[in-house]
Amino acid sequence: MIANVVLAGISLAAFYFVLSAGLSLVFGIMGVLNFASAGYFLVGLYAAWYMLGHGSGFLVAALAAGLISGVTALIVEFVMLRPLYRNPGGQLLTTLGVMLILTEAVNWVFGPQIQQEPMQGLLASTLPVGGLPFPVYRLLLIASGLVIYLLLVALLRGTSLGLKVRAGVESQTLAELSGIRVLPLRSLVYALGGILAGFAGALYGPFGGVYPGAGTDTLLLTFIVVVIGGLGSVGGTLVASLIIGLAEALVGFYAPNLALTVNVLAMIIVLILRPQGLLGRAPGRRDTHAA
Amino acid sequence: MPRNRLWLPPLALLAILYVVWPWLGGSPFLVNLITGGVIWGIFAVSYDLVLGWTGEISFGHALWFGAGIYGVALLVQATHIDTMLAILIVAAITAPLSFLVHIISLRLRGAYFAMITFAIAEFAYLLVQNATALTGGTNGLTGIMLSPYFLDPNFLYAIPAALLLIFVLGLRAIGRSRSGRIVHAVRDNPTRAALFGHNEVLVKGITLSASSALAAIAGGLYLAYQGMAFPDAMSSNTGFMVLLMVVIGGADSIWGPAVAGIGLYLLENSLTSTTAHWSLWLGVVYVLVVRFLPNGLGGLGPRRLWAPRGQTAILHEGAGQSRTKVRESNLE
Amino acid sequence: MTLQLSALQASLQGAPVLHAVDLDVKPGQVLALLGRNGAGKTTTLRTIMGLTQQTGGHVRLDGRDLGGAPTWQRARIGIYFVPEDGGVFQELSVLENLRLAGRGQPEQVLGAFPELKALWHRRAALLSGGERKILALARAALSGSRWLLIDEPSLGLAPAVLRRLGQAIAALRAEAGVLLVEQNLRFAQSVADDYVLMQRGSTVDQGPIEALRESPFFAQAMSFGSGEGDSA
Ligand SMILES: Nc1ncnc2c1ncn2[C@@H]1O[C@H](COP(=O)(O)OP(=O)(O)OP(=O)(O)O)[C@@H](O)[C@H]1O
Ligand SMILES: [Mg+2]
Repeated sequence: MIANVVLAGISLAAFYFVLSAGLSLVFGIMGVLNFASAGYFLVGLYAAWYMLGHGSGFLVAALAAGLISGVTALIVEFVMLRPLYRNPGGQLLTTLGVMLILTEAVNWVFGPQIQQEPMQGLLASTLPVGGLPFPVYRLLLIASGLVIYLLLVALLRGTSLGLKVRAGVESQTLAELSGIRVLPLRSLVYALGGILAGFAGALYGPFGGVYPGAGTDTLLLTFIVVVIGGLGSVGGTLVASLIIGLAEALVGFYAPNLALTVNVLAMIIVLILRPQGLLGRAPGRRDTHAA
Repeated sequence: MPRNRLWLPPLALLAILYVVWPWLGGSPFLVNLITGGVIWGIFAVSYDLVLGWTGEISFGHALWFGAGIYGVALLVQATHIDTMLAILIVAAITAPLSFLVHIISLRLRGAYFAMITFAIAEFAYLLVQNATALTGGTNGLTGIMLSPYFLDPNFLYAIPAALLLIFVLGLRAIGRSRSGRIVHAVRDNPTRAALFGHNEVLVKGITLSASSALAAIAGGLYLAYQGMAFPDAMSSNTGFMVLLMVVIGGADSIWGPAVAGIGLYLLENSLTSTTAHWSLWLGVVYVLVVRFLPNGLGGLGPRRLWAPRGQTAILHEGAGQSRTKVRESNLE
Repeated sequence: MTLQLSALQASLQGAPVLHAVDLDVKPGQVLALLGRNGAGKTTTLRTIMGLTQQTGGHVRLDGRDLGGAPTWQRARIGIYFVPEDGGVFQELSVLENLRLAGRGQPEQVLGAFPELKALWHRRAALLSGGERKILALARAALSGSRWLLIDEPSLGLAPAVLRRLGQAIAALRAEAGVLLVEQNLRFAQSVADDYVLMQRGSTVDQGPIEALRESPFFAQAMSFGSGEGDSA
């Protein structure tokens, strides 16, 4: 039975990772806490639901959802965020507005009711794990989380584009001093964040439900994950997702009401004691003299 | 009369008209609606101290509104004291509490400050929802014994308006005083202000604690208005809403957020029944204001009345840039 | 072919910090920018890079005004800034740092900076202060920039390392003009050809480095005997 709970926690962690990795990267390179991510998540959720309802397979629907959200994010970045790029406060406020607008737009088009996600075949079946049925779908979550992690690592560690992104994440100023144009890099990472959030939305439908409040409902969890993992770090996000996923599954198993409260408390404590995240390195060893 | 006092007579006239209007046959529905709007106006003014005066973005202002709602509800329930007195006591308790919370939160800036205020408010929201024995959980607290004057809709309508007027005039005066100039100097250039001996964290902490006390007063009035306390009033949505009001009204102008608070509340509660997509348009207007009107809609009006004293740092180019990321070095 | 600042003005967060900065750096020249703490030396370098808001005057490269050019463009047309803290990416390895520096193959720097070989895959955060400065100069060399702005490289270095640093800077001048901010007078005198003195945001005097101590502004600009308590 405990094996079942742990496996559920890991699948939750995989979902949290996909949900949060983009947010973390976007913060890393833009310094913007991207509330709009919750909006792209919602767009992906509904896009996948719509396609599933019209006969598409799950993977195709999920990839398309990522793409649609990515394009949405790219447009938002270009039209609304880029003009404010020297004004991080304005950008932060704008992403909040984008989240509200996308949430309301989805509400308008599809209505406030909870939609049924049509799942069939293998994905709707279960396997016995530790004496209890375990949804096959959750295994797909774990696989997706793993694949996304590996792809991100390959991109960031294995390509020269990834090297520039990592440089921009560490210090935009230093990157520009090295002759790197950070602006297009930001758009790219922002679009990537949209894709990941949209894909996460598609993954959420079958176990979390399809409804307009889904974006804002998962917002707090994303924040918890990226804070504990350290903003800007993909590896940190993975570890934090595992911590939060397992904590939620285990605490939730014994005291369902407490799970979120415990996680938020963890977030507050981490923010106060280690704002760079549990695994993050102490902020800027090189600038201990800076204010 | 000096020229800069010219607005006084029309304002006094407006105030008198406002107060006697229900007795002259103002529609009870409208009286009730406006009461809610004015209370939100106070709440918005309190948030202007955060966004406009300290230049920090907090996503957790709903916490202090909720502190007023639940604080007054519990205090009145336990002691049956006068409601207005309870509101003042709760505000007085909220101030030092908020000071403490913000001194800790101010270790972080920019997006990190936004996040910790958000997290603390959500934590409190979850506690209120789960501490069923004390707060009634999601069922809320009902049957609060309010003082008789709050049960008369015409008084309920006049009291918040009087308070709003006092707060707006008082804060405008403080904003122009030496203390107000210090607050603005710290916001615009903390490094330079520090050279003159003004501790940034202390100045911002005091401003934020005053802001929370005002928010608690708004919360207490809101309790009197609703007659009951529900956790929803302190959800993140409340925090977002008040931020929208201040941005749209124009941060740092005090008047702007007051008017935007009243106006947007009225619009929301009269339009939601006619167009279901009011929030969508609100979001669009808000995003446009952030992009094109750093001084909000208030900035469009006659300068004398509206224009903020200094620039609204948070919404202007380059403001707060250096402090957004914890890890960035002194290169920034 | 000069990097030329004329009547340069700049502000930090709205407060004017540079009032009138005039200086020329020529190829092959090492020009020491001297002045006491807070004189505006770092701000001058940052303004050249477009990191601090320029409010007046000109930064010209080969006669061309850099005007509002963004930082990355200034870097690409050949100005390289080595900030006080070294300006290397702490989270990246030595090799990755060199890869980002510019055109050349990273291995090219091993000739001039052989000590980097052993550190090739180490994360820059784990380098010693001196090693980090060597890496920063290796990046500068690799970038192929014609103008180098170096902020207080001698800070916190032992004499032996300092000598090594002096050699490194001497090697760089073969390809580039160097604007060097220094507090360590002896070090400055050992590597620089000329000096410019700065005082409260303005340049006040210049000349060949040998004549530095004869400058009528020397005592005041370096705050010797000015009684204002700053150390040079
Ligand atoms: N935000 C600010 N607002 C106003 N003045 C500032 C601000 N930041 C720095 N200054 C001032 O600008 C001046 C120039 O600083 P700068 O760092 O260029 O000096 P420096 O010559 O490099 O000094 P040091 O030798 O100590 O490195 C200093 O007097 C400093 O106090
Ligand atoms: Mg300096």
